[in-house]
Amino acid sequence: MPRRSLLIGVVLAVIALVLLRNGLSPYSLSVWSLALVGGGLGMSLSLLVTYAGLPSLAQAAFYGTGGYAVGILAAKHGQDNLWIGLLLAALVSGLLALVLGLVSLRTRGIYFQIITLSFTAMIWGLAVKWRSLTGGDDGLVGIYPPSMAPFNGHLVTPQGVFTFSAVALILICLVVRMVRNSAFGHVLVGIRDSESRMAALGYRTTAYRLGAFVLSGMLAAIPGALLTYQLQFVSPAQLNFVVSIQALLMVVIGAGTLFGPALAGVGVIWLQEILQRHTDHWLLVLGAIYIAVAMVNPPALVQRLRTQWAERRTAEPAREPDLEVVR
Amino acid sequence: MKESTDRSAGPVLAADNISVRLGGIQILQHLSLQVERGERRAIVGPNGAGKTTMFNVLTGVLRPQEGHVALHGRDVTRWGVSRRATCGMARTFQITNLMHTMTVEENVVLALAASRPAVRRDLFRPLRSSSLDRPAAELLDRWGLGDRRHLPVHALSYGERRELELVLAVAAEPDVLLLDEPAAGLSPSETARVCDLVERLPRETSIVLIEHDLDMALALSDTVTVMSEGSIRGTGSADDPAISALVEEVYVGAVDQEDADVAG
Amino acid sequence: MGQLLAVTVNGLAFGMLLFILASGLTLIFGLARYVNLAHGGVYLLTAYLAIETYTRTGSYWAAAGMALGSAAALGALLYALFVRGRAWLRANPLPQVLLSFGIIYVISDLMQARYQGLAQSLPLPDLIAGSVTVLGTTVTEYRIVLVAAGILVAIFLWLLLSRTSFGSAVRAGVDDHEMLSAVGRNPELLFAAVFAIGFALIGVSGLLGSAFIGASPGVEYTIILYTLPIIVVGGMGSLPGAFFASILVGIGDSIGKAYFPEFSLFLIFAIVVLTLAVRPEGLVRNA
Repeated sequence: MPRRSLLIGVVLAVIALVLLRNGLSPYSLSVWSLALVGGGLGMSLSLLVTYAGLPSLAQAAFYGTGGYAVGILAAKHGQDNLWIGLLLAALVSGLLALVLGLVSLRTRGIYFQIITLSFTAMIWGLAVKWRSLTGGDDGLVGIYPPSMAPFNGHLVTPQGVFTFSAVALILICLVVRMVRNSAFGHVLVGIRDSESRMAALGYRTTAYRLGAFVLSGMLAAIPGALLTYQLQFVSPAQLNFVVSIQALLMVVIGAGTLFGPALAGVGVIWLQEILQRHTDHWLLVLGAIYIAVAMVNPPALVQRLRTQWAERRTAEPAREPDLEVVR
Repeated sequence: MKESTDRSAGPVLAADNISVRLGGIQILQHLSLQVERGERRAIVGPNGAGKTTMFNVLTGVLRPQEGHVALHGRDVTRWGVSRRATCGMARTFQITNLMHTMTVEENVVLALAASRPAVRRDLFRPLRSSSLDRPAAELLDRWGLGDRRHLPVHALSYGERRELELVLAVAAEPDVLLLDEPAAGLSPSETARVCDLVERLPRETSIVLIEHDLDMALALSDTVTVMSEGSIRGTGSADDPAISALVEEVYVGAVDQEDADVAG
Repeated sequence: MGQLLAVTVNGLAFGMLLFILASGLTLIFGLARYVNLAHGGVYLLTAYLAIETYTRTGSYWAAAGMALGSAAALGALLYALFVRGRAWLRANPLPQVLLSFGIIYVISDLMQARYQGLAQSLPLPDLIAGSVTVLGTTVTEYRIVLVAAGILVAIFLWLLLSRTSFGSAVRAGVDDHEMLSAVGRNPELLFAAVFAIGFALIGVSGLLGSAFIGASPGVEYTIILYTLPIIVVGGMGSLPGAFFASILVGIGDSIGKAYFPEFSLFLIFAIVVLTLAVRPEGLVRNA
């Protein structure tokens, strides 16, 4: 996305956010805050899925670890500074991602999915059983709104929480964009397209993938921590593998575009909220949406459209794609 | 980024007593091979002779059960693919292996960036600011793909993709270049183009190529290694009639064996 | 010692139940390369329906028929909707996962609606409702039935795959997809048959499981949690691997719950992660 469009986009987003902030009820703002956190979750995963080509199902582990990090620090140690909380959440998640990455990046494709899913289940099991640390199934309460020192105040009003969550999402989007456009991002995409070729060129492909994994984990911790601050509560539900699947849904709906997963994330959370308010059968509808999204497969659709559009633009006769080995 | 290479006399690439066993089948047996600096070596042999396996051992894709591989005199048997690549080894793949969602230029930029430490230090800066665009464009112009620069790879013809394979491999100015059936699937005119490209490579670059097109193999190489059934039957100069005879023998022998298998 | 034996037999029985379930998955993945994570939902559906059928009719045969029938019907439906003619889906792991979970959510919601979240279980027929004493320990007869069932299924599958031409076609297809069409077998027909058998096996596990772990909300997810280690440790397309891994997981879980209740789940998955760290392909190579 060229810089001018980005600037315009950011300005428009800011305007929209200001309007929302001032115009909505506290309830709506709180739902929006949850939705913005969802957007952050989706963006963090898009780094792995879209750009590194790693179908990770471990995002809940990093998201939830971020949540537990601030939760445990606040409830058990009285740590109540927002910035320290966020920093520590990112560091702990990053460390976890490093360990998981070292183990799981030796696998590919479906095995990688299964091992990342297993890892999420493992961390969830740990959170459920380790009552003394995590409060077990009951979770942790007593997580008070954090102070924003050295700035004034606490992260407590609906407007304040909304604004902060929105800014956080925008920053996460910008980070993902920066990574995508950087040399690192290009190498990642190259590895996604052909790991063997990149290795033959001299790139240490596993190291790059590990870097992407850790970065993605650290990014996921931020929305995770914010969620805990918003709810003033953290429980194993934040670590459940269904959260990983939800993140995947956001990325797939995002169709491989840069900011798609952010919008999809916001949309998915809002949708769930509305569904739950209007019908008992919200899970059925949600399931149908998952199925529909799977069958439509937006990333492939968008890819096809892009190819057709590019062919029209370059005015080159479209070459029949040769039969290549489908991996 | 190239590690410092020991350019002493001695083979630039050597395989010593390589044995490979896969899935219960002995694919290579006690194979030894030496390629000198600047040498052009063709490896020929019928299907199943183990040529690609040999390549995979040389490049680090496969680790042999026995034996050693040495690059510039250093034992690289335990080295992975990327480490060998940073030490002056490059290869092309039999099945075209490119970054298919990227443009031709982006592919080349990645190939160049691999050997430029300054770029890798600027890991989080935009790639464009790394000033690799010009070298990439020059490289593409030199090898005849300049006008295809901005096309995505999937818009290239098969022949153009094989040329790009070659360009990626030579971008880092390797000491040893391994070409895996560079002319596979190409028309005669495309094959001639590839031959032309190979002949234009710097003389100090050692080249090892696997090729079924025997005319091409013999034309491009100084020495020929003849393989069959996992071992080397002979090595000699490309214009040595004994080598031609040996080649014919292993190919015909292979055909006879196939006939026997089918009939039997 | 007696307690250890009882715990082990309990674990073995659970492991056999898991094996019957996992074997269906293994067959389907091995041939169709289709990762069906919705099996937990299918299990729950067949278990609930078996129980309801028995409650209404008093007949175990009817319950069994319902379990197998509903599983087969569901398998046929899923096959027709999502697998037949959709080779693109098989090659795409991302939509597959979303699809599986969508199916689970749908089933979960329907089960919740029909059974109001009540846990139910199938009462055992008198014949096998008792206990026997083995090596000085009391073991319920049903656990022995489960172990026997698991072994029978294992033998049946082994015979099917190694002694019939259907089986050899499946094995050939597992090894090499392209070869299937080349050899003249209709791949889609083969896939359909494998789906049917795979789902039938899940139905069997639903029937047997309804009297053992029962049917309740949440089981559809717990099942996934248990089959993950089996798939990983056993290797994804390997029936022998699934067999041994199921026993390992079943006994491990049982011992874990009895002696280390704090960390049982974590332990199982730690084993998974360690196994993959050492052998990314799983313990048993899919020869």
